[in-house]
Amino acid sequence: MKKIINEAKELNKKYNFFVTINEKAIKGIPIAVKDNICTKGILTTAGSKILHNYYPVFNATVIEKLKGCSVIGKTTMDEFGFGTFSINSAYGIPKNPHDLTRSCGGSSGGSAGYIAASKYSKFAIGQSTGGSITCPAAFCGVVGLTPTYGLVSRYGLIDFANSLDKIGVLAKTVDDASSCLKMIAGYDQKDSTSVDVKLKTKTTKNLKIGIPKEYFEHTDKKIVEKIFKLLDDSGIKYQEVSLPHTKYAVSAYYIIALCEASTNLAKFCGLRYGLSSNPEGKGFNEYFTEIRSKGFGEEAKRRILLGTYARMAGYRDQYYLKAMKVRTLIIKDFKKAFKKVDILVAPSMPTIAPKFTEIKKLTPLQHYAYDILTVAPNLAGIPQLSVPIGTMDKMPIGLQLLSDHFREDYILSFGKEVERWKK
Amino acid sequence: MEKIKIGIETHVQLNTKTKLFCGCSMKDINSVSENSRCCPTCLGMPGSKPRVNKGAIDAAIKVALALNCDVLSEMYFSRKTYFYPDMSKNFQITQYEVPLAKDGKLEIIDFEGKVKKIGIERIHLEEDPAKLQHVGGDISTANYTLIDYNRSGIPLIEIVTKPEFSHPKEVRRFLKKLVMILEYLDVYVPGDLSLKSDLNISIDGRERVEIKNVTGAIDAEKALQLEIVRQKGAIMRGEKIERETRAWLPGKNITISLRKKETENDYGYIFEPDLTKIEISKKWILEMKNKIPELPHHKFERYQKEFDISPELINSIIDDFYLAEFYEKCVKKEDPKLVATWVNILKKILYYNKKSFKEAEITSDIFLKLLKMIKRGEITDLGAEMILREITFNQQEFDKISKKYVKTDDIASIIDGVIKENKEAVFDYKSGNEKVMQFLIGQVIRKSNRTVDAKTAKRLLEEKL
Repeated sequence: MKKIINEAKELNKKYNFFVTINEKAIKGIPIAVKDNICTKGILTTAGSKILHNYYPVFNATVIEKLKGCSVIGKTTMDEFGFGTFSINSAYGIPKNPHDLTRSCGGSSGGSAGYIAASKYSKFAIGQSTGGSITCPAAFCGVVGLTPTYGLVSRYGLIDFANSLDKIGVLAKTVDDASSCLKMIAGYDQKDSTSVDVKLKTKTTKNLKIGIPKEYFEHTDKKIVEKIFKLLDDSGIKYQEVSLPHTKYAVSAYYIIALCEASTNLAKFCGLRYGLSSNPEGKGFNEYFTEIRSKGFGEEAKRRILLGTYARMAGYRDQYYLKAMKVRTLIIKDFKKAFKKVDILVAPSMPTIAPKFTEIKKLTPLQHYAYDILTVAPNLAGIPQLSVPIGTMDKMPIGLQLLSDHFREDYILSFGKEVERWKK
Repeated sequence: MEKIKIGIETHVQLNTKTKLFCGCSMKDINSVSENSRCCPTCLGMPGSKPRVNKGAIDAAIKVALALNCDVLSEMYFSRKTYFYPDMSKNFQITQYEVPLAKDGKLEIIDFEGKVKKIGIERIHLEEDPAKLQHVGGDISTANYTLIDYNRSGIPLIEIVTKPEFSHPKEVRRFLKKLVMILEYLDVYVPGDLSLKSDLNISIDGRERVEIKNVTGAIDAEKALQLEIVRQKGAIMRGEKIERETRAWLPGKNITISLRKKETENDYGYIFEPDLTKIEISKKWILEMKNKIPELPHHKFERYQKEFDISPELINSIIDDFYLAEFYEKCVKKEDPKLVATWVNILKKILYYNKKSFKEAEITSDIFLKLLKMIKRGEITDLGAEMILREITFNQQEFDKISKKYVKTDDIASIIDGVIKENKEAVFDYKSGNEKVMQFLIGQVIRKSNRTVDAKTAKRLLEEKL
């Protein structure tokens, strides 16, 4: 364990994967956990300054379920999960182990980067709202498993958007991801959205593969070519399918996610925990404003404003309620596709990990557009697996596999096949 | 006469075993020390999640059915967001688009004495915020404010009526009847803060004024009466009635303006994403229907048919569910009229001690024994009342206590004693001052420890003098 802690410290100096390294961890399987998951007595910041001193009084259910594991550290992330590149963090930006000038992706950037760089750790805990596992898995060249919504308890997760948040795994291999998921999956009465379904992991062969054409339209041509070459080389059969509402997914996702996020973040006001100041002589509004102005980063503020606007009287119908309807249509798209095929195969991200200098030039809207391939599966709550399929310009590429709700067995089975492909 | 339209929104704290969204116990919650009944969920700690207390839904369904509402088959919770220090999450989990129940009614006697139906718009379930204690002033002037999270997450039901009241008196009657129904349903703990109403009033089609947070039925009537007076005065002075929200200051019996229309909050409702849709089956509703006891208005009608007692006595008895239960047990073995008279006296004793029947100790066996003694003439009515006062909270002592009041054989010596000790009064009486007789009768009753009644005392005194 000492070896592992020392490695984590060394890696942290170079790559900044951790907000906190827990030197008290002494035995068991080492596990790094995204910093928005509550760990009793271990600093939990969700990447935000507003929680710079927050030591939870209880463990998240996943932490309780990780029997025989020791939390070795809390990984860097975009503040509350608000980002695609882990650059919106109050605790430094994690750097891609394949190229220090590039992003790890986000928002579970620290967890993915650490798994890519560590010689010892086989899996880490991440969390996805709109692609925060698939994105950094693809950019760092590791496996990313986002389970079906409801399969893993969210109790103890610091909410971004409750109807979308899923705790999942970043791992070296599909088998590692699968064995970690086995530990954390399961019904939990403390989370009302938890579903009492047994996790399926049995290997299944001869799965029917579908290619959703909309997912290749906005992707780097070289990545598209590589995917089709691999598919053809492997000799498997596949058919084209269409998910026609994909083009509305980014808008619907950001409206729903930010409406929920703006209410979730209301609780951070400097009253019982987190950042505080001397309230003397201040009215409560003045005090709350002071704490929130100081404690939230720019992206968090932007998202609170957008989310609050979209649920205001007069806009609520045309934004929030309409986005909910779009979400239903997107689910229907997937349900229809899964009548024809067992698995959908698509690029994980539209490009390789961008350089920090490139990210700086992006507008917020271009930022959000990066999520085009991951938000629809997240809106639908279906399981997703991102598997590395080699490199382009020396940077990793990921292939994402999607299946119907609670059909983790399909993507895990096919994921293992993909791992065996000659890249 | 002016045309008055009043609609009310009443919040009732339910008496469930635990809070609405967490496992915190509600036992004696209003008397335990501050912040001793809270957990990560009701404190709004990051990562905590709500889970719904089914008992609160049970209670809300019972209320909805008792108020003749349609219970909807699907139930959703929503987030109502606003920043205030009593809100642990700065949003309240409540119900918005889809309430628990709607379209009910409750019959009352209107201000002209006629039966009137008041429509119930909707009933929904929500959580109570924490309690604020402003030290050294109100929220804007206090030196500091203390927060007690024991109240955070207590289940509330909100009952919204249609604007169908036309007099403050009707509101009082509605709330009194509502409280009685809630007590019959055993979903409510009577207490200082457990029933609060927001009152909406509009006179002669003018703008609507809302009076927020009025506790109880009597204050609601008072606040509305004063609001009518205030508005009439304003109109006489040529002022315009504006749409506004006012606060009721109970001790001072005045209302003050809180905010005008343009600053009304926008709560930005969204569905509560941590809770799933709850299906309320016909079976569940039926199960709750079967748990509803005979309600007070039905009891009243039945008593009128079955027992030959006055409407006043009926009302007095059925006012307390458990007292009515006691009455019904006793009349199986004793004359309903006699029982009613003495149950009413028992109620006065309880009222004097500020207790409900549930807190009394007396059983029907002992009570019936007492009635037998009265019937047999072993004790006077006065003596019986004295016994009842002593045994209501201490019935084991019945035999010992009742003995003290059994009629004495030796009335003659008591009469003689009184005459001897009150020579002056006797002299006055003999001189023609008949008023003194009342004094002498009182002396005899006292000296006999109430075993002699006034009539007998008067007869014997007159004989002797």
